[in-house]
Amino acid sequence: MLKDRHPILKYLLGFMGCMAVFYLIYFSSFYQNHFEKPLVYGQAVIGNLLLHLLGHDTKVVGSAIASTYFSVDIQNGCDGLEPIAILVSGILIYPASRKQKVTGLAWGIGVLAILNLFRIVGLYLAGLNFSKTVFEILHVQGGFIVFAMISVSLLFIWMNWVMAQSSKPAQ
Amino acid sequence: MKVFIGPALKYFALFLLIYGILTGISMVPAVGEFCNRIYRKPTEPILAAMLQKAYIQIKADGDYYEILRIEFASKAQVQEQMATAKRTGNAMVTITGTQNEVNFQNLFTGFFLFLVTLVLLSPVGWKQKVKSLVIGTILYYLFTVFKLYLVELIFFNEPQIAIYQTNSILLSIVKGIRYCMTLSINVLVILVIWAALVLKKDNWKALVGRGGMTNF
Repeated sequence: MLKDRHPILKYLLGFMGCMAVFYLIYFSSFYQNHFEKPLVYGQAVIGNLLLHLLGHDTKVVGSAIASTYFSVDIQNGCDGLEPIAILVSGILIYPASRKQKVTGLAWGIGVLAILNLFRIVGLYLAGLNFSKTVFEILHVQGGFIVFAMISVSLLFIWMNWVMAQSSKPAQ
Repeated sequence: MKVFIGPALKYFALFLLIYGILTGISMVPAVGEFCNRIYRKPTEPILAAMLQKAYIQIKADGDYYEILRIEFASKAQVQEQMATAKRTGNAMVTITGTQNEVNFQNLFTGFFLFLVTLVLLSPVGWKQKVKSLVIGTILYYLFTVFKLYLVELIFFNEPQIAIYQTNSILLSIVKGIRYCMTLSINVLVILVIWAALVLKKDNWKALVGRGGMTNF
């Protein structure tokens, strides 16, 4: 049974190792003091810009996007870095060429970073228009679970692409 | 690239559909109350065994099935009150307890349904699905009980409660672990449990290669 799972368990161990390194950095005071605030502030600024494009009169207050009616505070965990770390860990330890990994990382990180901005805007709109319960469900279920699944789906797409490339006959 | 994105999008759409339906069902009050009750039943004696200096009761918060209300009292204080009552000849003892609340949806239900959806969508037979689901549920349940244990241990060390006076270094470690146990860690735990239980050398290519499409 273990033999059957050996490569998968090895991959999983590597994956967990990468995630552990990520969390060591993510929860460190060095990251929190130097990188966290600028990152969430930047996301708040872009989210605010998108909301202005949609006709909302919002403003950035620290890491929050606020209006008279509702405000959404982008905190540690809402920055989209954890789903990105899932994708990055999955790509880094997968047996593929450097070029394939760089391609996957560039596309994956780009897509997830953009989607996270839409998620923030979506949460503001959900909080503005729906009840607290709906907002909480979209925040937790949508924010953490669905977003992690997007990351996993992107990883599958990349793995599939790598496998197809490997099976192509050499030119 | 389109050839790779199509199946993955189908997989993701199916995931959203099943997960959405399951979440909807879990929000029906009778179902939510049932899940809450089933969760509380074994958890109360386990937590009580882990935190022996306190009397612990876990209840639902009235009709709010998404809340776990953990009521507790210091065993030492209760015994002291009973001894005082005995000395003064009082037949009745008033025991003052304290409580804290935990969001059950965020602790268990939401992530359990995530596991159920992942297992249902996996390219394995029904027997394997049921087995993975049972083992996965137990593993995730134990993880959440451990999380509850940490939450309560930290709470019991608060100066105004002081049921426990854990060594300061140990308490810092406990607080550190608890700090790291975010909702994203729950997601990660579920993903690892699912992959470890379901994926094998011969089926993971089917999962990835077909964009996750399964014989579901």
